[in-house]
Amino acid sequence: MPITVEIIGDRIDSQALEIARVFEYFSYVDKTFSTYKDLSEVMKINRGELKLENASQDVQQIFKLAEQTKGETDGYFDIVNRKGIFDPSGIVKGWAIRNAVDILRRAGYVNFYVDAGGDIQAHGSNREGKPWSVGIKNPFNQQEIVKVIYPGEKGVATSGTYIRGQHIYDPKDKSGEITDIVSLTVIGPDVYEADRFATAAFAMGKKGIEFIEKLPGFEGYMIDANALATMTTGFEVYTERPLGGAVFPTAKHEGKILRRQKGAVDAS
Amino acid sequence: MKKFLLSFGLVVVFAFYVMLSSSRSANQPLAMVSNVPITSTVPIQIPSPSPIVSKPTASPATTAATSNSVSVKSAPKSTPSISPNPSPVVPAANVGLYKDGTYTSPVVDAYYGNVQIAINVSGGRLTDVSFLQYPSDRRTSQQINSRAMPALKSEAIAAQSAKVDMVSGATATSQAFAQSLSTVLAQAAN
Repeated sequence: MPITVEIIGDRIDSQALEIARVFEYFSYVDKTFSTYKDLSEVMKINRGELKLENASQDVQQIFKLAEQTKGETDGYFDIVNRKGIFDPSGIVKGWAIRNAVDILRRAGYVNFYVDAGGDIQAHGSNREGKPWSVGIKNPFNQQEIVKVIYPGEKGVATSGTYIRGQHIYDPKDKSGEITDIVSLTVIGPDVYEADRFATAAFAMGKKGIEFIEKLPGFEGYMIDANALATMTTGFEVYTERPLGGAVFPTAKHEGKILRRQKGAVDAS
Repeated sequence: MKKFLLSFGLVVVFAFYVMLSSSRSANQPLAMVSNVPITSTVPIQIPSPSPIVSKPTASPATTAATSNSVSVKSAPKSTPSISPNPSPVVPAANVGLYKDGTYTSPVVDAYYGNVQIAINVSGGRLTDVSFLQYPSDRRTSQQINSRAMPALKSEAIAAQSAKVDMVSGATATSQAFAQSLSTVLAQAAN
């Protein structure tokens, strides 16, 4: 998965160092959560070698967040995959990007973005001093984009069937695969929120966009197998280029969904 | 031209999708498609599964620095596989599994027109995919979709030429195509 970190500024040395820290962080996350690495904590839990209560704080937090998300999505988000093993990748990526953004923010950087496999959170403005722009990829042609959005400092995540095959399925029907929609892009208060709800809503199939519509603070753009896109009512606000840079305020942790999350441990 | 290619791709995907839906009997479509040499008129890519968070390959030490920004990209498309690819359960001996001949899909009402495709199998391999029918005007589809979801606006997707800072989405051509193709191949199977 390609990861891109870009910091705008003239402190080249310290920026490079900070970027190195971010990559180091992603590497730690991968080592801890990967279901492809036998020695990851998640795989140890899956093999019964490690009890959740003895796992690291980060792992315990992810399991807690996954459980919470399952409750908020009527069971459509489930880290137990069809083989019956824990696979938290649907929630870890957004969480890790958000933490990476926090690393950069705490280091005092203003204009940057972190993009991990198309899940994105930006901050400030681009090198021309303009708002960061994000293209939504055409799921049927990887060379093309079909929409341009200006998410400000909101998070953007896309779930689809087209990158890793059918990696998302309806957890209520373990044999079923999602084939009627091919791509769902969600804009949310931050990339963690966007990612987990994109994953869950995608698993709902065509109803997913209605779920996003009802979710306060979220917008979505769904592309179905007929190449028809359906968008939530507030989505088009993000397709209009704002004047100047960074007109969106920094995402505030407020709103119905986020308040429920207060009990969670903050990893940062 | 782009438009044509796009429609072409879409039609293929949809047609196979419908065939997939209508013949759900085959239970190992992914395994089959990943092992069958495919020669068709539609360029497809079958991405290997990769972990959602993979270790970046770019060493931080090689950070490229420009005059006013620092940007590091890791894991270029050509080297996506740090991960062991968990190979799906593969049915034994699946080369030349297909009976030679031409297989035609049923005519499918894709709401905005009829779609019908044919595949050709030669020497046990898929050698061609062609359209017998496909819709030439996709505009009416917008109304249809909005009927399904009255509150939400719909549109046919269209390629944009704008330059953007980042791209959200995935990096491979529709897996749905590859996946659906496996189903039609299952029909052709010996």
